[in-house]
Amino acid sequence: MRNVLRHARLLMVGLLIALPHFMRAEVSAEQGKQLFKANCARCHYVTDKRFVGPGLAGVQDRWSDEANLLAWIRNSSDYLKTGDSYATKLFAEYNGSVMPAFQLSDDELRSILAYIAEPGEEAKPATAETDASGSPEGGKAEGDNTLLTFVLIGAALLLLILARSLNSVSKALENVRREKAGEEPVQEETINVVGKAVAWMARNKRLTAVLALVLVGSVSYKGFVALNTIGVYEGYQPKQPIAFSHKLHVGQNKIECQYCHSTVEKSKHANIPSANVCMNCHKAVQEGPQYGKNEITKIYAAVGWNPEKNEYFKDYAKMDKDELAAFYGSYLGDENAAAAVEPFIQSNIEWVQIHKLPDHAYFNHAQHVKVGKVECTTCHGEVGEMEEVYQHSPLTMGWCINCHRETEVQYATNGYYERLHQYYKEHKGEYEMREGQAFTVEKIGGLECSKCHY
Amino acid sequence: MSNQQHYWKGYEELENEPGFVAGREKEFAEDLPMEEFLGNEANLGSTQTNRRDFLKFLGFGVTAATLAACETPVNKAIPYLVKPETITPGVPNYYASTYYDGRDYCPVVVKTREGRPIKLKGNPASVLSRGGSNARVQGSILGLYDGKRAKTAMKGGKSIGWSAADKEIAEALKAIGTEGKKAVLMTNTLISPSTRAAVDLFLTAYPQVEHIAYDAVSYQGIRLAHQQAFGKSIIPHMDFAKARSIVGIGADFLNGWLNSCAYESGYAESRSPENPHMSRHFQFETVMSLAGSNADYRSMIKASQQGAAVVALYNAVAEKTGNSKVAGGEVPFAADIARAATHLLANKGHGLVVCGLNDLNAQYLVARINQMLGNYGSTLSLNTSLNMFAGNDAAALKLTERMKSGEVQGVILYGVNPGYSMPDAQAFNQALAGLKLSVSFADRAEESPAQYLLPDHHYLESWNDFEAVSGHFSVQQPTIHPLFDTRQAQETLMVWAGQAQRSDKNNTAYREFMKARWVNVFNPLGKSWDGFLYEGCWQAAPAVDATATPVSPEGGLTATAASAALAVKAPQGYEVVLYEKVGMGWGNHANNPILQELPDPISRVTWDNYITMAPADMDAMKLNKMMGQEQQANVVKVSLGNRSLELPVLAQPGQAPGSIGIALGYGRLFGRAEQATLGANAFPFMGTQNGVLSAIAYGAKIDTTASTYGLAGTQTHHTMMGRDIIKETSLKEFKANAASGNAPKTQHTNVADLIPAGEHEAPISKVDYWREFKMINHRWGMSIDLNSCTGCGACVVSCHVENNVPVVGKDEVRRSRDMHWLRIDRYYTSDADPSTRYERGNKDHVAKEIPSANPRVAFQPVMCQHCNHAPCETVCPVLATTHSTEGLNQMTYNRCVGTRYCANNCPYKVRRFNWFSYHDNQKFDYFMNDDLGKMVLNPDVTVRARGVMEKCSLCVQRIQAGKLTAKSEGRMVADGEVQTACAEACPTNAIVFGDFNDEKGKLTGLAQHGRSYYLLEEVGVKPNIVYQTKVRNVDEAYGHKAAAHHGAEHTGHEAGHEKGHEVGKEAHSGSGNESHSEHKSH
Repeated sequence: MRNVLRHARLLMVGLLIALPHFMRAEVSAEQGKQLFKANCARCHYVTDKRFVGPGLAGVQDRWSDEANLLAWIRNSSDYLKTGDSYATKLFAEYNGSVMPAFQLSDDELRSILAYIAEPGEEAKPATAETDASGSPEGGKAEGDNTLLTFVLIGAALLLLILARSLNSVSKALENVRREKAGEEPVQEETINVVGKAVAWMARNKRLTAVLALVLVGSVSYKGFVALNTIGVYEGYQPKQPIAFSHKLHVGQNKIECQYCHSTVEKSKHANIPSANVCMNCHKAVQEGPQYGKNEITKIYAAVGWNPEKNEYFKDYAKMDKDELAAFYGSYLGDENAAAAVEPFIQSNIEWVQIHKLPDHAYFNHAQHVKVGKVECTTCHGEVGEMEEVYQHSPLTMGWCINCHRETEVQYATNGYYERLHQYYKEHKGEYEMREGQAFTVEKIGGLECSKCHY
Repeated sequence: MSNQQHYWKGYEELENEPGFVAGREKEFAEDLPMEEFLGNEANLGSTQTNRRDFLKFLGFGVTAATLAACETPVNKAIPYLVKPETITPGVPNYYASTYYDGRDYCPVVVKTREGRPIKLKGNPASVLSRGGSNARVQGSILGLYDGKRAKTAMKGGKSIGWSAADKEIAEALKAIGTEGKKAVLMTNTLISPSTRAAVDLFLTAYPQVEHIAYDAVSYQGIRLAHQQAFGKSIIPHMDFAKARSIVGIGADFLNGWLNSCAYESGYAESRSPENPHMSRHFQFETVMSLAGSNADYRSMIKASQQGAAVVALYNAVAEKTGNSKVAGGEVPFAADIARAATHLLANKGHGLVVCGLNDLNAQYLVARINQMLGNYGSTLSLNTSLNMFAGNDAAALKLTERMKSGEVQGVILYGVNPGYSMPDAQAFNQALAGLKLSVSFADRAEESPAQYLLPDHHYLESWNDFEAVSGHFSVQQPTIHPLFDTRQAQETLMVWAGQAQRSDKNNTAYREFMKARWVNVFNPLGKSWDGFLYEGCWQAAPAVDATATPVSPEGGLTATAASAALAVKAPQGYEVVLYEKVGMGWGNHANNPILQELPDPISRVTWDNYITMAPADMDAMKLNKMMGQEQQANVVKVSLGNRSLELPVLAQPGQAPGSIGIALGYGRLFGRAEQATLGANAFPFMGTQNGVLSAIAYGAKIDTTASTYGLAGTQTHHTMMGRDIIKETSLKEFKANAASGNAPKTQHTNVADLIPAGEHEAPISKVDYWREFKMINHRWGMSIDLNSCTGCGACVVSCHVENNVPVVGKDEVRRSRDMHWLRIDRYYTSDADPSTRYERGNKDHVAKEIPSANPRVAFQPVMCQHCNHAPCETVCPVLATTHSTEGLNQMTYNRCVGTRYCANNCPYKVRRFNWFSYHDNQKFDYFMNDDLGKMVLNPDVTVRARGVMEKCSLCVQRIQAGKLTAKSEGRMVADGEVQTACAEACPTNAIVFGDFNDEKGKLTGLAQHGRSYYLLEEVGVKPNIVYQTKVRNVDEAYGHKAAAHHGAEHTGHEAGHEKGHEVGKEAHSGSGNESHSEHKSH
């Protein structure tokens, strides 16, 4: 099963790598499309579908004068000062969120507009290969089952041997008793399967020995490997309460990791974003490409957003739960989706933690991301390709240590390391720092116990 | 003073009590009862587990454990819905606030994590306490998470809504008014201007209510005396830092006397030997107090002689300042008084005389002495006064009578518990129970049986402002949303007065009231509200100090009259002095297990109070002076009039014969966990003298009883086995040679592999078993100044809270299993008498010396020394304890298998073993053992499990955090940026943490100072903790021999060299002669 999953993942990665190539071949001639992707796609669709900003299909028809439109795109806040009624209306409609200014020439803007006018096929939001990631229950269960089987077989063997030896011991004792009492010893039942097997083994001692060795060897090996996976949850992919797609947000919309996980440079935790961060975009983006309104409404139910009036409910905590359930139900217009949203009403979003270190291990994101400049993907994998996030790395101590042995310290730009680096430059050839060796984390005590355990 | 100084921790050590001698040889007091168990045939035979069962258990256990390990745990990660802007999960926030409970005042900085307060430190912005704090303040954080707190408004033990209670009480108050009767609002001294304003609103709305301030321990005598002497009813503000000559007469100004929390830092500053005028401290006292134990000259006088001592000092000073002497003042210790007076006179205008007697006459004379010496205007201020302790004893004492007579029909108690602390609490409680209306704002049901219990917020949930000393303001602001349905008392009063509406428990009404007052009154003076909240403290322009001019009010007191009043003879019998222990104070923290388990600095006893008695008296009564696991204390009955109590007796060197001391604050029965109800309440012994409360009672009778009691003392634990690790010198010798008194000792080895070729021996401190560790970037270390350390215990509690150190309980302490990572050793020292000191051939029971009944005292904090050549590291079979490249001796709990070899091999005895899962102990329903108490745990520090070793980590979590901050900002760690919990808590800056590699750092400077030495330097473990010699400002010389005679000042080492003894138990010193035979056997 794990192998199957791995293949599926490979396939998915392959697809993802192949897809852009396929697309690029078709549209590389169009400068407009690239500019659009670089500058506009974060907030606009080329269809008439509303995103952070309005859908841009037919935008030129909505603006009478192209010059005005270009001025508006280039610097919307400046243009607003002209008092253009359409611009003002638009500004109000989108709750006063300002479009950033762009340093683009008229020709470049026109090429974008041209692209919007004839976007081609891939304008549709990508919905492909979403199911490739497999079932949410992931690979972990399979590993456990293997382990379980081995343990059970081992236990059964152990008990069998025990039963056998205890039986003979008890017989021997009984015989001793009988002998003392002058009675007849217990008769050995000579004809039985075990007896036959023993007799066979007695005849083929060499073969038995080889077989036993192979058996013991393979069981020990498998057992050792299995025991080593206890507590290692690589590939753990729990089902989350909201079908949040990192693939869509990171992979496609190119939102920076730190937009949501904002404390990663400040704190030991890379926080799970609070719902108000989701609402920064989802006040405007009320429908997703895959699940439509269903999943986003769960956030609304938690924070108390009224998507029909585009405003927060007043005194949300005090409102009647059933009324709210009815409201969101009618908004969604789908019984199943409404039932899924109900537990979120006036409630917290209980995500399932994926990456968990034991309590006795201290890990600090700020140290690794801010100081060590480690990419998020180094440990978390290509999250931008994960529809649902799973644990990419084993998070074992060996894995940590290995990275500390290999990773170079970012000393060049950090005044903290000056003293250390100077020393190592002057003392090349000492056992800590042989010629040609990298200035790794290990060299500055990165393998010491109390760097992580205290 | 002879050079034969001898240090001892208690009578067990002094007299080589066999149990103590046997115990000190072992690192663990008890062996595991293995032999006992396996050797007991009968017991083994009757066990129910036979082999088959064992195999079954084994098979099942292995399978079950394996299966259990396979299950994937599902953990939820629940983010905020709307994250507060100021909170970043994983990053602490700090808020300025203030601790005040009627007894202690201390501006603090509160550390919160994810909205939970988890640690306190003194606010360095306060010019009063200068960042200092004491043990009670440090421990008070745990009070917030006390499960015994009342959870909502109660009436007669049943929950009643707040609005219902408000309505009923307002009606009852009105009814009392219409009947023409009185009600009383009894509070502790209110030092909060806004609280006083809120109380005024309430009093205006209900004119039938009268306000009485009451302090459980009174200092009214000082106010009355200043009224008589200067026409001002004040307690002057004192500045110990300016003092060059300090005389204390029965006043423990380092713990318990007035605003002691703020006096410590100034005192320590004045006593720095580097200071051109190191102060000299004379103490005349009855009970060995914290101040007395720090004195240069301590005279042991009976309580009844304290008045005469004041008169004698008055006469001595008056004579030399051209004033007339008064009659009286004949004391047997006249020479001591003369010595003190001479020093005071030599330091006119820089002296400070303080007296603990709460008596108008004595305080009047003390004020006159200070005035004659010109101390007002320098160390004492008449314009800046202490606002604390303004209680009216007479009014409080009369209240019981007024309640009985029916004049007073209602009582509201706020911040006081007279049903526990009044001398005649029983009568008070009876009268209170008969009232029409009785209300208590206490945080739990207390001894005073009030009908209504309207629990006040904990101080960490409250808004308030304080003016402890005139012109010095500090703020109290909430650091957590109130945990329970409690309401702040000020808001309650304002609601009753019709000046506020109840909203929710966040008491915004009182906050707005307080803020409006601030904005109106103080903004014009130049301090914004936000600035006040940010800094926490603010000092208004200091008042100009006027020189004291005596006034003679009509019919006023004169020195002659005061002296005559003091000459009244005390009745026969024992004198009882009630004092405050560092952990308990007045008993406000009785349910705080951390403070209960804090060893008292002087007696080193935890969890109990007891009777301190002079050893000579105990010998006469044939009471047991020893303490230990096998040694039970005798219980005696103290009776005085119709009051009596039974308590165990403890031998206290320095206790004046004929007197006993009993600590207040114990024997509280209400709202406590069962384990915290130990001891007996000594408040009933409070007497009155001239109308004010006095903590001294005369004429007590002591009867022995047949019963015994096991005290949990730690003085016999972790002893240094006679190795002198504490070093002292006199000021004179220090001035001549900064290194006097701490000459390093040397021991030699002749192990061929270690010594240079051709030599036949080498000093151990020069040879290495180990490869030198390179500490290129940091070498963390600490400096501990024994001269500044007052032994106050703030560091012990701070370490306890910071590092999730478990509380083990009294029974476990008795088994030497206390878990404190940091202990403060208290040594008594007395001149040795060589004639009786050495008796060869009788090793087991040598009377080492004739103890001086009044020994000097020295304190020494000892924690893991983070040896560069750590003996513990080499013996760990699993590498659970290792060395870091930053000089830390690391302890990895999850690797430890509990062999305890490391503790066996530690020369400092600083490693602690978790015998049980103390964090999940069903016997204790508090601290780490219940859900609420767990909230105080530091999330950055592992909670240790059963079976692992632990010890001081030098607060490695703080080091790592400090390094990370520096790295994030791309710079080196600044000096003083990282502070360990102990260094942070120390009110006297005795503990300094730093980086030895920082050449300009404070630590490096200290380590190079002549006073610096390392503990047991001669064993060659190269510690990273450096100590500074204690310097006593005494005329006598210690007579240290010059450092050149290595090892010679302690006899016996020349002989020891020959046999090449090594690191280990042979390192006897000082009294080490008796161990010669041991040396040779190795």
